[in-house]
Amino acid sequence: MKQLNKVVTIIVSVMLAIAIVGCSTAAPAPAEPPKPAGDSQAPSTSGPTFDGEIYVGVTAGITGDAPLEGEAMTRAVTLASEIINGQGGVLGKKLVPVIEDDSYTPEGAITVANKFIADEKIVAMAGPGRSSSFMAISDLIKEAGMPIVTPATSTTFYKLDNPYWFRDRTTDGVSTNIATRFLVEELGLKKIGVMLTNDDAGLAARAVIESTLKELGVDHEIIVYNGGEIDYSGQVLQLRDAGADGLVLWGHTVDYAVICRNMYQLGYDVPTVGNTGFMSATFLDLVDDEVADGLYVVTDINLESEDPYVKYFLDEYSKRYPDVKPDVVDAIHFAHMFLIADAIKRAGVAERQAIADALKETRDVPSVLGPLTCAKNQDCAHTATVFQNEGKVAHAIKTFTLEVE
Amino acid sequence: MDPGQKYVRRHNNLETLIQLAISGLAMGLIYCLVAIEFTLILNTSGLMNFGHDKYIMFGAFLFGGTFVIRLGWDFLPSAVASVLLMGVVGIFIAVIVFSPLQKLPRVYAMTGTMALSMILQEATRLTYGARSFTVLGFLSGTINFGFVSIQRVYLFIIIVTTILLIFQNLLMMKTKLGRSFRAVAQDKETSSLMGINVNTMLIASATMSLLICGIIGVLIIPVTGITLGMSNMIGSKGYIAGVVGGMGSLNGAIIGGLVVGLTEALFLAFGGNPVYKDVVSFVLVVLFLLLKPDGILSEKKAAI
Repeated sequence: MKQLNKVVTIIVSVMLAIAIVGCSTAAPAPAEPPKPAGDSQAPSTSGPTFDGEIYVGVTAGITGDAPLEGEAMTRAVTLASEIINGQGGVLGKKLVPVIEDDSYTPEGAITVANKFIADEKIVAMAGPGRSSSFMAISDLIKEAGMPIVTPATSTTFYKLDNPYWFRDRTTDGVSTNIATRFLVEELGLKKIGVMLTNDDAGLAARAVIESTLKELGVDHEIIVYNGGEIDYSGQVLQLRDAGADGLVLWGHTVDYAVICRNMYQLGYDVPTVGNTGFMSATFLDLVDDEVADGLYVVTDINLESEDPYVKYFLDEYSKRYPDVKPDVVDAIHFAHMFLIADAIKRAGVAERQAIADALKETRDVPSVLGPLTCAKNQDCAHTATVFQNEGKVAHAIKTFTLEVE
Repeated sequence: MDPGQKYVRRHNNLETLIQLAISGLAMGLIYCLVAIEFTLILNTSGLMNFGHDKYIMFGAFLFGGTFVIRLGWDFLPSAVASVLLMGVVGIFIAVIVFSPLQKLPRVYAMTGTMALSMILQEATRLTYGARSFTVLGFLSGTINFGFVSIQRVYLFIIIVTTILLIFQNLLMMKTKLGRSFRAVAQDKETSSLMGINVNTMLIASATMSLLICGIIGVLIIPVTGITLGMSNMIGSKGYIAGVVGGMGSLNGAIIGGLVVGLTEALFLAFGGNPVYKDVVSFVLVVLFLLLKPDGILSEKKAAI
């Protein structure tokens, strides 16, 4: 028995040691990307010489409930930085992303934001990915005068009175408007069901969807659900019984998988439109082809377009990460570093206030998301595309370009 | 804005009622199993295992990630292998972690179980990657019973958990091991004096607990997919089931799980706003803690 205990102790100690190393609270290194197929194809980082470094803090959800998106952000900002540095860096200095894990939670975002703000070397931030996380750090950012480029899409940010945030994605306000109109005006549906997550993103989307449906004079039923549940049959059945012949689904990726699975299993097969989550690897890996098939997606990126910048992104990505297929999440985060780098160049100095002022003056900066122009409301991206899934492959149907105010 | 504004109250549809009742029963039985697995450890060691939901997650990853996807095994052998492997993990954890922890003050012991669960979650992430996934074709689809379509996974959950509960009851009532469990649950010191090896009972209960976690993990994959957070809510509902049914009572765990699952289903069936579905469970537990903290079937009343 003692011998067995000894053996068990050794084995489990080794297992625990491995796990503890993986759980280190030190800032995690970015996920190591696969080596490129050939050195000659990798962006050159050894060519230019730099007379210093410029640090940009990146808050990424590497752990938490959507770690794939954190990995995508890590890959994308790393690649973008390598390309920028291969082209000479920014103001003669090397652009260095400092990536920290916020666990995709507001608490995690606060911890990371405080860390970046306290570090005077960090002159700008990218992230966080969730609207609720951004709301949690808005006051910190404002007080510190830290310019931040965020992909979070809630329209609630307009009420923050914070001049330091900038968004390089089409907002939920625009996307939900397009999604709702698409079901009614393009597909001719008569009664729209709406399922929204019970958080900042969902409730902000609700206001836009409701006003759009009222404007269109279409009957509707709205259900707000709590994220993280394991079964949404009740909610789906309520919409089915209400006779909704189309569905706007606005929430987060993991919940999408559960809801769509429930819909499929309950035979509730109506046109359903949602946000980028329907195309993301996180969602597609959680559902069968039949569940994903036919879903409509409104997102700000069309990776099928002939836009040279999109092709450039796909080409560089495939060279750097040949084993990973880029999706919209990769493309979203790829744009952050270019926008920030462009702002630093226009500012002429790597200082927080100067960068914030330059971001405000952004005009037609080319990016994988389309030309970026900072509007009065601090949104910089103004295009959206409707896709439809064929199995797990999304195909573009229609692109909308919005007027910049 | 009131999130409860504008919801549907049209559940005079018999098919919907039956579907909700089936899903409520299935989830209630899952909650039963969750309550049973942590009650087993609680009764033999006094440890409240706050990390138990991560063992459920780990069982799912073993089944889907290792046996089905990496090794390419069929579903049944994969399920058997992953459950048995979870039992082996239970032995390790009992010897290395639970046995020393039960001697510590309660706060330290609880912290220890939580730390272990975090380690397990991150070890899973490092082993399998951050990617969520599912097992294609596993218990998917529906079965038609006349005018009603029932999800295959719920039927399977009901059948398997019912068999498991019967087996567990027979084990507890008809076997020497079961009598030893019950003796230790009632009084550890006296049991020890009567010749029952309490540490062995802890190991046995941890093994059974993790076997059950493995089974739960496999069963819920068609419902949740395989994600690092797949079992968070189930773990919480399992605790609620334990409180409602009677903490420390295995029969109470069964009753508590059914009460929680069916209450949620009935709440929706009769037009309740889905956003408050979880609130119903939490209100239930608060009411029980205030009015009947021993639960429906308190430990003293329960045979087991």
